[in-house]
Amino acid sequence: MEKLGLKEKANLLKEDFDKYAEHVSKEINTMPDYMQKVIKYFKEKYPNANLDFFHHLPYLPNLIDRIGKTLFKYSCTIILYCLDKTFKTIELHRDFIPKNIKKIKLSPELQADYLVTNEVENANEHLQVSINKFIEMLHQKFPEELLLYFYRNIGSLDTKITSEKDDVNKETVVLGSYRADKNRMLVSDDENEITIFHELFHMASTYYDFKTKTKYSGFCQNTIGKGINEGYTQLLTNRNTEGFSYFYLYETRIATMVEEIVGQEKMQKNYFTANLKGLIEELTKYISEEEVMKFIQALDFYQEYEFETSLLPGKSQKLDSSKQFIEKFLLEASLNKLKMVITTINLNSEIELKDFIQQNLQNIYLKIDHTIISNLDFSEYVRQVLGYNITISDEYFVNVEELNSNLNESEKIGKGRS
Amino acid sequence: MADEKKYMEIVDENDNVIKYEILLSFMLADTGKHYLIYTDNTYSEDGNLKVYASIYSPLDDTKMEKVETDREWQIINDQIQKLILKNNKIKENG
Repeated sequence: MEKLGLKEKANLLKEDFDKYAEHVSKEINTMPDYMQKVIKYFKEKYPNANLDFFHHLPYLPNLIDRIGKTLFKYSCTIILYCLDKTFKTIELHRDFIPKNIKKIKLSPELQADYLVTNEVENANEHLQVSINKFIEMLHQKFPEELLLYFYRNIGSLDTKITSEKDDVNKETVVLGSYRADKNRMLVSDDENEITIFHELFHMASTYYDFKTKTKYSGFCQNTIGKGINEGYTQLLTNRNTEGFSYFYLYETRIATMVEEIVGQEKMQKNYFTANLKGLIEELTKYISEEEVMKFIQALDFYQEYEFETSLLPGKSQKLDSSKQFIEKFLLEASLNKLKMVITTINLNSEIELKDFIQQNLQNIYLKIDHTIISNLDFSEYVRQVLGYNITISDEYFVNVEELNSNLNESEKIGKGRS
Repeated sequence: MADEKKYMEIVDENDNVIKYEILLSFMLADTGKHYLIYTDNTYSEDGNLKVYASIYSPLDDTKMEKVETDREWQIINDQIQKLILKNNKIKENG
């Protein structure tokens, strides 16, 4: 055995190893445990073999990689840098942390991995200025843990400035677009900051899976969720630019209401981590998942066809019914949320409670579309969900008539009060 | 051709400079954190290369954080094992 060369040793052990490795891979969850068990097995079986060569078995890394993909269920690990250096054994010191740090300096090559470069491929001066402003805004307004996809994409972002004559034959560009698969932003040559920021928000919230060809962009997964995604992207754009945009007016209003229901922090987190599922889970706290999915699909449909001028009757009717469904969905979800808050809130007096409820109902009332939800409808929804009778004045003032009037005993206000 | 070596210099409050060689740097998608695995190229009594791991913040060059969770340590161990295997394979082939 000692006289055998590497290849011979490897061949001898291969069959043995394969059988054992297959068996052990079903029991072991971690790479280090796995390696230890396999090495121990071979040391016992071949006590005279020099197992330093073990790491040189050519098929071993491939096998571990193959098994590793199913065994080691941790999330995506993005390798930034890996040194080509050979060493036999290492000792990992877990307790060590550099102390009294005044400054950390990275070598230029490592710095390049980390520093967000402001220079974007093919960007002209005007575009570069807007990009710089966007980057500064992003770092000021949003926590770092939300900027993972931004970091991934900004370093390799490509930009293309199109003129009208290009649009006809090539990619369809309205005023701007972002292509996830190419990490490319297209804008027209005189485009303003609002459009540029809108597309950059898409870039900062997008992950493209090349293996499955799936786009995860904000609240959009491939084509599902496009409506809410455009709405929220525009909402963020409006908040962080000067001037006013007429784009996605409807979708922005809807996104505003969804954000009020879900909460700004959770909304932003799910957006920047491209987590449509997370958004659905949040909404499902207040309304059924089936209704949530219908809402997303209705908004997608509306977003696609809202400006079509020659819709067939069936589609036109569907457009109207989508709009109605969306409005009722938001109202119901908002009222359900308010109901949950009321049952847990701790206020000192009934007057305070009445004021609280009135204020919140007023807030919801002012946001809904009154061409779809009449005052009568609104009052009826409030009565059904919350159990209050309300009146609405000519000045759009919502007045709660009386607390506890239509509630069951178990739903009476004051459950959460001391 | 091997990568240019990447390193980090830490300047302490007394302006002492300690240089570490970076073995591996990676980011975890779900935590959004950046991890550095590095060495000062010293060896333990057993002859093993001493290696350390910390969390690095690209936007703050005055601090490094300790790795806290078992899950993070497990991932670091896995990455180091892969690094050892990969690099030893390169030596064999190269």
